[in-house]
Amino acid sequence: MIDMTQFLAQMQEVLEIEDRTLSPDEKFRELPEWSSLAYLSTIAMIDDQYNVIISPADFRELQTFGDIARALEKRKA
Amino acid sequence: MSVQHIANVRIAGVSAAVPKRTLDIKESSAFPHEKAREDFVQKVGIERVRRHGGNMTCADMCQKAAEELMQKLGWAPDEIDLLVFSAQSREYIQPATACVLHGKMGLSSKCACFDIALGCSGWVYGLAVVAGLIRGGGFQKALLLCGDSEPTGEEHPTRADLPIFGDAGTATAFVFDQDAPEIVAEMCTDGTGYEAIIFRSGGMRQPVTAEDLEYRVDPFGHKHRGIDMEMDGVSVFLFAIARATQAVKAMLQRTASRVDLIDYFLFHQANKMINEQIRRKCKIPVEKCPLSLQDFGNTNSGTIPLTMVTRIREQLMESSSRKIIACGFGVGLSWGAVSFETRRLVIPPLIEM
Repeated sequence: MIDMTQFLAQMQEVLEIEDRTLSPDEKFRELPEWSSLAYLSTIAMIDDQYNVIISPADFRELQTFGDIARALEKRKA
Repeated sequence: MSVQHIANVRIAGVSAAVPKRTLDIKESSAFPHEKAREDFVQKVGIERVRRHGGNMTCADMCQKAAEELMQKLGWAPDEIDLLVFSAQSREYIQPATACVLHGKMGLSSKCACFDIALGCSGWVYGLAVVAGLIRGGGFQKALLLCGDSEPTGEEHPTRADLPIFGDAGTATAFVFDQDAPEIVAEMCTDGTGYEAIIFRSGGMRQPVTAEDLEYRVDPFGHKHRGIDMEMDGVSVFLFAIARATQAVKAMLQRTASRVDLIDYFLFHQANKMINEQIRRKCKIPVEKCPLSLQDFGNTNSGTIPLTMVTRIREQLMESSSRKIIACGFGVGLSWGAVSFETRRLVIPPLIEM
């Protein structure tokens, strides 16, 4: 099981958000901090922490932080 | 298996030439706001690149680097029996750039010349091919030329809109030597990814039309023409962190080596995040992975020799040997790793043109 609190903290670090915490239902693509470089940082973090790679086509379907966490869980299983 | 164990070949020297002209990221107009610029410098790791400004090509810089190196090695032009140009910045579609340089450098008619049509894996592939040809003794002295140049030499609005590419030309000299330590090379390919980095028009599949000269916006939001390079950055990033890591780990295993027994890991440099990812996954200390991209950007097949010249020159010139694993990866998709030892390399200081 992916620890959602931990995953959100990791995403917060990737996006360099310090003044608030993230929620699983938040749409990451709508955040001002989301960018092509943030996407690459996310890929790097997921590779480091979970040893998982999500293809660009699959990633395009994901909308919320919870979606990413569930995609990770599916690939880790 | 595309693995070669190559005896009888020694790397004699390496040199690099770059334009004097510097494009500082601080002065680039490519960023929509300051934060984007800061993020770029911090994450991609590029602070400045060299740009020629319209008066030279990759081949010119390679020629300068090669001639300087030959002079320092005491090699006469008619002694060179193999010249390989391994880069995507070719002078013409045909003839081969190596042939053009052969004429300009006044080499012998008994010198074999050809290009390897690869990009960022070009130095590693070139090394494997050149060393493979020398090992039998049929060739004695060879030069491998690698690097890159932007078509206009100016800040280019079409390559993913960001100043990630720099200009450079390098030369690596090889010599037949029966006392040379073994070189081990692996060359790999994933041709299903051929579209990840592509110049679509200009070849036989898609000859240039008037439309190819007009700017369009691609699915990634980048503005470019049909004749320009297209790159799917995310796919390339995923490819690089997976394949390069795999290749480096396999090379360590194959040579019965360990990270602590290797002096330097020289990786192609396109984006610091890729290099950091490979380094962390292979558990390599940061001081063993010298980077030159902060000052020169991505110089295509030139990044590895340019790093040797600008970051570890003194160490490679010493009489004690240095063990190195290098890995190149890019357009193709093509990648490779090589393990070699250096000793008393001849390395002229960085040449500025």
